[in-house]
Amino acid sequence: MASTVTRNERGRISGWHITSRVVAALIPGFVLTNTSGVFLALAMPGDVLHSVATATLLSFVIYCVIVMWVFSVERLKTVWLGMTGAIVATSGGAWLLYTLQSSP
Amino acid sequence: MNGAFRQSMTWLHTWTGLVFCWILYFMFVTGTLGYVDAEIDRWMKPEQIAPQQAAPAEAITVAARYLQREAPGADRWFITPPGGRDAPHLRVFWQLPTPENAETPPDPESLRGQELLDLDTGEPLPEVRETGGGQVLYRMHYLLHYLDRDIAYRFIGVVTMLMFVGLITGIVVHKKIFKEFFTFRPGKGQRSWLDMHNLLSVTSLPFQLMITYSGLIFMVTVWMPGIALGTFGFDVQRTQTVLSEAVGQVPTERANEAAPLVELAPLLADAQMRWDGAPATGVEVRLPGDANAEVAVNRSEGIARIGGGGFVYNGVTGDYERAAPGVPNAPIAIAATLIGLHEGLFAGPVLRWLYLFSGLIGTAMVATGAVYWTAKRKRTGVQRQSRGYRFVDALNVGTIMGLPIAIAAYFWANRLLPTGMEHRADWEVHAMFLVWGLCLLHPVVRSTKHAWSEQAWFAAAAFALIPVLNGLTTQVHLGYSLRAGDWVLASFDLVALATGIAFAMAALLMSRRAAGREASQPVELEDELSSSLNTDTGAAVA
Repeated sequence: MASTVTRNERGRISGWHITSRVVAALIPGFVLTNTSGVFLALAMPGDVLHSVATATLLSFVIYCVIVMWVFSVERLKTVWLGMTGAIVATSGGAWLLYTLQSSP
Repeated sequence: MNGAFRQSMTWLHTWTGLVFCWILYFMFVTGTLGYVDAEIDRWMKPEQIAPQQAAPAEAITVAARYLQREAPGADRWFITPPGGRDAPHLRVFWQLPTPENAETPPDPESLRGQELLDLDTGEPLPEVRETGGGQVLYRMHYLLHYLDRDIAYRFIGVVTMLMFVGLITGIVVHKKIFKEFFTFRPGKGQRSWLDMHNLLSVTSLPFQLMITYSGLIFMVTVWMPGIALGTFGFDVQRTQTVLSEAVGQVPTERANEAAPLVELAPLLADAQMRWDGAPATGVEVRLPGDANAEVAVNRSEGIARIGGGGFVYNGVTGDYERAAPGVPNAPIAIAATLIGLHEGLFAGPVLRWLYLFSGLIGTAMVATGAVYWTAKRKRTGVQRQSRGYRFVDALNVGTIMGLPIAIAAYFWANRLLPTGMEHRADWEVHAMFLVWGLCLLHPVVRSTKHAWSEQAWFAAAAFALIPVLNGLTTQVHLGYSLRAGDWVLASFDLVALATGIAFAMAALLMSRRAAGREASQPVELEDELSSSLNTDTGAAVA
């Protein structure tokens, strides 16, 4: 059961480290699933309904990968910075694509 | 793959698996029973008349006559002609319009109605024994019975997602997935539980992935509406319009002008001709009695049961209007297929048994995983005293053994509660959960070591005696069903008996193991000591 993700810098099992990762997986992880799903749907070529359905179907795989990432990265700081960066990047990208596509 | 990554994934697998494993076990057990829901229905309604057969056109006429009388101003009627295992009787369903000037919005349940009709009399089948049957039992696996529907869906979504993460991390942590397929070391405590868990999971992996992912797809509108919404610029109206157009739900506006509904039988005949002779499997009448009425004649076949296509007719003149659109695109077809695979309505007898076994393997996978968690910690005396260990250990007994006992109690209640009792169907379920509650308390009061075998013996008796109970309380016992060749009824009793025997064997094994462990403990210690001494001396010699 000894895993680095549950331990602090001194190698002790830390409730705080576990809680922080659980929260990261649940809240920003779920937000990122949605923002990356929207980004994917808008980035895919072709019929919009097709893209939305594909991205939605894939969303649970995306979420699963995010959760696995949250629990495999060594440093907590990387988890939170990476999560914030990815949410900003995907939602910004989605906004850009949406604006480009809806302008005539 | 580096060691640290595998370690963190092992940790994730352990905890995503453990945290809701008892709910997962409950979902697997009740969901698996869903593959024989119609058969359980049949056993739980022993007085119900035998399944009826009729040409769809004839059945539809009976249904329409009944609905004209009972639900004339409805928004929709759904008629399912009898045929096959899932529809032994003619079934009608209606949805009344929401009253416009109601002060408080009425309970949506009060606007819906459902009946099984007798083809000979055109009246609802007399309900002698009010029961939830197999339907209530199987719906528990996603409604959890006592919870509000919305809360249950959300919670089930979370549990299913944890199961999915558990499956994927379970695959990732395997170094030699192929080798472990052939590895089983019985009688070695902790190792055996792990081997069993691996063996069950690897052999049934395709089923587990299918059932879990399709389970998530059922929850897609509850948990993942954000992606569609975001893609359409958070415009709720537009999102709804696009999505309902995609699945062919064109809203029919009420004309508020009365017009008699067309005769339905000729429409069925027309549709059957368009399908080269294949009969319809369902009819939907929208706005019956209104000038804008429409009749959709549907046919579903194969694996995917949604978006199967059909024909739409004018509900007053009977003119052919259009073909209902089928599945609009590939991803939605995939979703429909996954949902069809999850429900398994297409499965014939052989495939249905296979579904049943796959579900049981999934159940055993969850159970062995939960037991392995305790088996692994049992060896270190310190952890054995911890609150977490005792909590998991007690829940394991009370659920792994207790839930089957509770389900037996559901069947016993069906036979023992007085037939005229009020809220009888509710009390069948209460009986089930009361018994489960007792089974959860039992290992807390008694030690878990004794509780395992005691509950196994109890489960053995509870199932093995079901045929006896059935013989004492009804006319449809094995003596009748075997002679009459009524295999649905006979199978229920025989499977209950076999389940009882299986539990008895498990109980015997557990009692013997527990007795053996007590007797052999000092020897084991000695063995370990001597073997460690041997290695020490070996090292010294080298």
